[in-house]
Amino acid sequence: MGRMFPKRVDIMFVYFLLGLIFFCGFVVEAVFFMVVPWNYIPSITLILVICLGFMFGEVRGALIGLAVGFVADVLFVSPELGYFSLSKMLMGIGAGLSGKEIYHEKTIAPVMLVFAGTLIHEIFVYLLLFLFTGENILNLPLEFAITGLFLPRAFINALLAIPLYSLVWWLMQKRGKSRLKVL
Amino acid sequence: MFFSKKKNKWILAAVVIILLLVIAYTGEKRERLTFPEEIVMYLVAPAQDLFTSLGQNIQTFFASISQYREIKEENERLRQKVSRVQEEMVDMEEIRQENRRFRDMLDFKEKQEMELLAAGVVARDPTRWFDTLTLNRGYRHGVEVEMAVITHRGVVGMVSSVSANSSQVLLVTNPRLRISAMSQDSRDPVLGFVEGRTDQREHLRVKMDHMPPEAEIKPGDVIVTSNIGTIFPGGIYVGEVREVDVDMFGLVKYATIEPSVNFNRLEEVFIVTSPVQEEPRQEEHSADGEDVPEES
Repeated sequence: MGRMFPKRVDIMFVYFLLGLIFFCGFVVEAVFFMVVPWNYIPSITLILVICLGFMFGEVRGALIGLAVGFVADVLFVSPELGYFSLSKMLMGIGAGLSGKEIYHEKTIAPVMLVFAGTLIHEIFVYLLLFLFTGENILNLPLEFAITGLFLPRAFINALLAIPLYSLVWWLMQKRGKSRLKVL
Repeated sequence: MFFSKKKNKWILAAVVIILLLVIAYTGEKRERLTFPEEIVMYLVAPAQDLFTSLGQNIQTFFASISQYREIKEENERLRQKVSRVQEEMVDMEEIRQENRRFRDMLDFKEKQEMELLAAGVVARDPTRWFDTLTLNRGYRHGVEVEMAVITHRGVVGMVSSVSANSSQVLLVTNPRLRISAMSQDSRDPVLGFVEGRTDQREHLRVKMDHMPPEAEIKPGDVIVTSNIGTIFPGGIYVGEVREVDVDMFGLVKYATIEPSVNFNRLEEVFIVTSPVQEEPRQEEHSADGEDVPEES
């Protein structure tokens, strides 16, 4: 059976789908805090950065993290910039470095990585904000912030990582391994 | 690995430092954004609008879903409240009417010289064959057979049987009861007997019979009980003349009377317990043709 689309169109299609997923992630994150009555809002973009970094390595992970973090900065933090750019970039790198040693087919590894990554990410942003603003924006001591906010959020993100990682993995498999390298 | 090379580590460190500087720079209070930032904001502003609008729409959607239950519950609560209020209004209306009836009855009782015993109607012959009422007063309360039963509106009937705590009343619409009555309006009062009409029972009308053909009686005349009789005191309102006619032989005149009492809605009545003052003789008959005590 011949190819339905040329290789270039397939890659664009993958980009498009990934962009769409990120877009939806941003929308959901932007909307979730307005809709849900609790504080434990999942971060779909962070999950995706960690999952994609895990799959594609530290460089692509860093670039994806930087790009996504920058958009998040502009959308949610502006006029201050850099918090999410830096934190998500580092998460992308960390996930990419972890992915070198672990099998990608199993979902359990990225799920655990998302759990740990979320926790580290939140603590990192907490400290970064404290460092640069000199204020405890959450108005909570770190230990209470960890037990009351970061751990539940890490847990929710880990749960949400199961379908999201499966979706991205399925998408990449659908496009073929050779094209993943182009990404 | 990319970042294991020394050069690449420097690149990473440089990027991190740049980002930290960006954070430090943008974190300070600024009058306005830099040109590149303004460009970025200009580019992302529509996206932010879109996000906000989407967020608001989704929020509204979810809010309406979450509020739906509240609204439904509130609706249910309000329905129950309306239902309760309606019941209360019905009760209040009932109490108001009862109050009005009691007030009328009290006024009536106070104006009367005779002794009256208030009684409640507890049952009504549903078949209408016998036109009877059951009252919640019996011989323990001093009720006796052949006592008159009236309301402030007029004649009701006569006690036909008594038990300890209840009594049976023959309604004036029952053909077995005959009451001596007269017209109130004519200069020369016309005497006659009022009794139930077997042919028009559904209209609950009564007939005043045994009047001479020359009797001056006409539709609209008021009929009251006469003083001639031992059961009903005189002057109790019976009803109003609707039609006047003469029997087939032209010997006796009779009138159809609309009773003043609505027998279908009777709830409280008075039993006349005091003896009726004696007047010159005329007979009143109870149901089965037995003569009832005469009055003078």
